[in-house]
Formats: sequence, structure tokens, C-alpha cells
Amino acid sequence: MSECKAKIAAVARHRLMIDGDGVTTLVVFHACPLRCRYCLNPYTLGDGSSFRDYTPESLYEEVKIDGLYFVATGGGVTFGGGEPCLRPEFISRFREICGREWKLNLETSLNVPVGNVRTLLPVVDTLIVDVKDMNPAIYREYTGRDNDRVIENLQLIADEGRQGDCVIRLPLIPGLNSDASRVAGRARLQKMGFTRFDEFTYIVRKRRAE
Amino acid sequence: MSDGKRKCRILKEIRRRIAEANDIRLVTEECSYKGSCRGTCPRCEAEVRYLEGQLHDRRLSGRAVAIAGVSAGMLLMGGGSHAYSRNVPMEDITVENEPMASQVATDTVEENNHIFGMVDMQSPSMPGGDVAIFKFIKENIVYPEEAVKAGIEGRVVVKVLVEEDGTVSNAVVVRSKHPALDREALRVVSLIPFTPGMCDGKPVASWFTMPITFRLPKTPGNE
Repeated sequence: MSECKAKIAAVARHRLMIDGDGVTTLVVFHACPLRCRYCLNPYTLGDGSSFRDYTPESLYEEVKIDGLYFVATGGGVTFGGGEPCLRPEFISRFREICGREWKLNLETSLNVPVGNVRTLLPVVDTLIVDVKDMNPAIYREYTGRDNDRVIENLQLIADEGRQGDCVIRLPLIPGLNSDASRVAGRARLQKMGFTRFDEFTYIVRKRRAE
Repeated sequence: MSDGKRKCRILKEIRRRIAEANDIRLVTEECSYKGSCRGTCPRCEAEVRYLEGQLHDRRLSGRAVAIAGVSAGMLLMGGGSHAYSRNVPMEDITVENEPMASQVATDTVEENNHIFGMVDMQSPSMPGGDVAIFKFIKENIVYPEEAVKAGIEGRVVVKVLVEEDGTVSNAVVVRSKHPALDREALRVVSLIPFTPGMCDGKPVASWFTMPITFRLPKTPGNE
């Protein structure tokens, strides 16, 4: 049994047409380097003390219940969070355990050390990359971090010829970016060889007054 | 239909296809549970375990097992907020069939307090199976220009009668959305080079039903 463990906030079964082709199970990791203003999963950002520790083996034992659906539909496991690229050893070991029949997908910001992505590229099938916005100032305004590592990792993916395995999410974030900046970002990514994009708009709902 | 019920229906169809691809006799009844559902239940889980057991026995007896890709392409992702975008975003293309052959006598077996019926039927298909059908539709469907201009999108359900020789002799709209979308759905499904449905090893005329969802790419302002 491996020594590596990770805190996992949730395991969601039977995802259809949401985070990958086929039937997928979403594994939500705790912890993320970003602090996005409109984070979809803010509960993953706390201290994680309430989340269960998994090893790659124990996670496999839990998700294999849907292995038949994975193989039949070309689905598998999607790692999200939080930031799954903070767990390269965990995911690599998971790949060793589950074999190559299952698809392994990453939902990531790519704002992690390049070495992490270099470890993960051989073991994952698809990367769904939310770049927020390619403009550094807009990116910092929205996430609280620089996007240097994002650009570096995108270049690594391009150098490895894996652009076809990436879907780049380009959100329109009300009050933060514009269609013009999104168009410019897409053009820059297309020059790097990325061809698959998912453009969508955040819908920000105001919280009711307490 | 609630999201849970819809999920249950899709997973049930996947199980049916796995059984069909491996000559496992399995017919499940339409779920009659009226409450909210997450898409699975003990009965559904038991069917999966049953299939796994049957596939295991099949391997042990030296017979080929077909699982990989049996239902690949069945869950096509749409555009907009989903991860994959394409020129004609489609979602949820499922395949149903209503065989016209006279009813086949059924046997039942009890297993773990669940009753599964047994029939021997195959849906109309095409060489390459469901993956080929979805690929054929993706490559041949054209989003009608008048619908694009008018911003019309939605779900059309059509069914075609596939004769014993695989030809399509009739095509009807089961659920209409707009005449232009209806016409395109009928056109492309009628072009599919079918192999006929089979019942007890013999080709039979049978209906092939397919829902097709036409969805326009999302742009700011039309969320």
C-alpha cells in the first residue's frame, strides 16, 4: 500500500455529460492555491479537518463500484477540487491501480509547479483547464495569484503535443473581464496550438441580506 | 422528468446494452418509484452486480466479453457551459426501440429477491454499433439556417421503421420542436445505413426511436 494520502472533500458518482465523456465519478480534492472571487467549491479551501483521508487504494475501492459503466461508456474518474494537480503522486499511483481502461480527467487551473504537470501528463487522458483570463492583471484581480505558472504549464502541454487532450475553459466573468479580453486570450491559446474551447458566462447571484 | 429519473433511465439503457452485447438475458421494468431519486437504487445496483457476475462467468468459460465502448458516444456533451464545444452541440442522444414482432414468450428467474425477465431481441443498428450511429449523425446533421437565425433550439424525437432488409420505410416525428428542426432530424436519421432488428435470431421490422437536441452555442446575453 502506498504512503501517500490526500484529503478528499467529496466523491460524486454517476456524472453524465458534466466533467468528461461517458459516465464519470468526480473526486473533489481539498486545497487550492487560488482564492477566486466566485469559487464554485469554497468549502474545499478550509483546513480540511472534516474531510476524510484517502489513499489511492482506498479511493479505488470506493469508486470501482461503477467500473462497468466507466468501461462501457468510455468514462472514468475526474479529479477536481480544489486543485487536483497538487496531488501528482496520488493520481499517478491511482492510475497504476486502476489500469488503462478507465479515463482519468483533470479539472484544473494549472496554477501549480511545472513538475506536477510533468508527472501527471503521462497518466491522465483529458485536462479541462479553467484559465480564468489570460490577461495577467485580470487573472490576479480575480484569483489573488499570478498566472505565470499557468502559462508555463500550458507551454509544457504544447511542447508535449497534448493540446488535443485539453479543453480550455474561457469564462466571461461579469465585472472582471470582457469579451475582448476573452477573444485575445483565445487567440493567444490558438497560437500555442490549442483548439478545444469552452466559452461560457458566469451568472453571479447576489446573496440575500441576512 | 427529474434529473434523477433521467439519470436512472440512461444508466438502465447502458446496462441493457451491456447485456445485449454479451448475450446476457436481461429485461428490466420501468421504475415505478414515484419519489425523488439520485439515479440509482438498490435494485439498480443489484442489476450491475448481476451483470458483473454474468460477465465473470462468461470469461471463465472462455467466451469473449464485450464491454469497452458498448455505450460509448451515448452521452454526447453539449456546448455552452459544458466542457466540450462543437459546431452542432447535441446532448442526450439515446436509442430506444419498439419491436413490431409479436411478443416473445418470457421466462423469469429470481435472483436476490429481484426478478429479471428474459427475452432475445436486438435493436436495429449499423456496422460499428452505437458509436457509429452517433458518429454518422454528428457528421451528417446540419443545423437549419432558418433555425439558427431565429435562435430556435430544442429537442426533437423521431422514429423510423427499419424493415427486415434494413431499409427505412417510414419516418415520423414523435415530439416536434420546430418544422425546420423536425425535417432535419427526420432526414438524417432516415439516412442511417441500418442493420435490421433481430428477434430470436431472425430479422424483424422494428421502430428505431431517437431524440436529438439542437442547441445553439451560448453567447453573452442569451444565457
